[in-house]
Amino acid sequence: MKVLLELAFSFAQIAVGAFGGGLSTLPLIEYQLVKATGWLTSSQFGQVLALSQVTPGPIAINAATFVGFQQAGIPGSIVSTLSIVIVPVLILCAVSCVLKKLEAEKSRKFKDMLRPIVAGLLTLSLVSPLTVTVKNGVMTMAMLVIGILLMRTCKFFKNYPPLLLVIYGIIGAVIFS
Amino acid sequence: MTIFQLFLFFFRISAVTFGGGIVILGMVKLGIADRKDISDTEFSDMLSLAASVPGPLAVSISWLLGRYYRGLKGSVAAVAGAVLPPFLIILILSPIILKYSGTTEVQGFFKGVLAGTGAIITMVVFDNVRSTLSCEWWNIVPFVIVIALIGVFGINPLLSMLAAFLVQLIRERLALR
Repeated sequence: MKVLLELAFSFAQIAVGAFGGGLSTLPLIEYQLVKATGWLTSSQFGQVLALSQVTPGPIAINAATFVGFQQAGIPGSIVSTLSIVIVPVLILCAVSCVLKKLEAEKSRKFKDMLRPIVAGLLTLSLVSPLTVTVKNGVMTMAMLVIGILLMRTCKFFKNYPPLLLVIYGIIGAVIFS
Repeated sequence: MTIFQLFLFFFRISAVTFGGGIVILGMVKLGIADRKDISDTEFSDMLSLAASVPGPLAVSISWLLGRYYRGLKGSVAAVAGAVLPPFLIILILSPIILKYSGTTEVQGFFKGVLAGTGAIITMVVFDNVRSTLSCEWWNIVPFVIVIALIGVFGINPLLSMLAAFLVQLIRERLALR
């Protein structure tokens, strides 16, 4: 029971700060799951990040389901996923309640103010995949550089990044085993 | 859309959308483009609100669109449709990954995917940071504050974001004078 409450509380904190959607949530997820609770090691966090990129859905939901399961089985994954869903819904309801109609001007200003903060979070989201990739050795570092070049030059990979990731995963499974 | 159609609409999009975030908004936009029962302004108001609140964009946009069509029941159905595919896929994969995470093949796969993820995030960060910092010189201040507080001093990201947002508010007040 205690672990379920901890899961709910951790993912609620992630949800509250998840502005900008997607990758900019990574620093919050990493802080909660690696630093604050110790549920994941740095390399496990890298695995969760990798997993979320080759499966459908937002990373916050993917991480919630996986870590919830890892900590407390199916009940854990349900509680964690619900937490990451219900908190934003409650905030959405509160906002719609207070403001009958969202003024376009105010909403734009708010998003403009958030923009550099989200950019900072995005930049921080680079730290974990880069450090783990460097730690994994020369081969993965080379793959990373080639990946950037591929996406810069090849429209196909730029439009379908998950495909690049699956190919990379297969290459990784072959060369590292 | 009926309640069941709402569920199916988001289930389908969510099952094939990797990474979440902005991508899912584009898919939803495409999906309702031909519908006569919702106007462009109504939908762009929803997008604007969805992007102004924290939490996965898939959750906020499905909640709002569900509410627009069928009230509370519609919201619940739409969010369930958006959340179930990633939840079920990770739930199925989690025990497999936890069981085989020690094998070199699985570790190699994740190493490869993570290298590719590093490449993708590098591209996203580069574009985002360049446009954020070039549109307004002041943006560098909250940008650096967030990176320094979280990345250098290891402070809770929520508090760090709050601090940077307070700086934004103060600047806003001073600029109005």
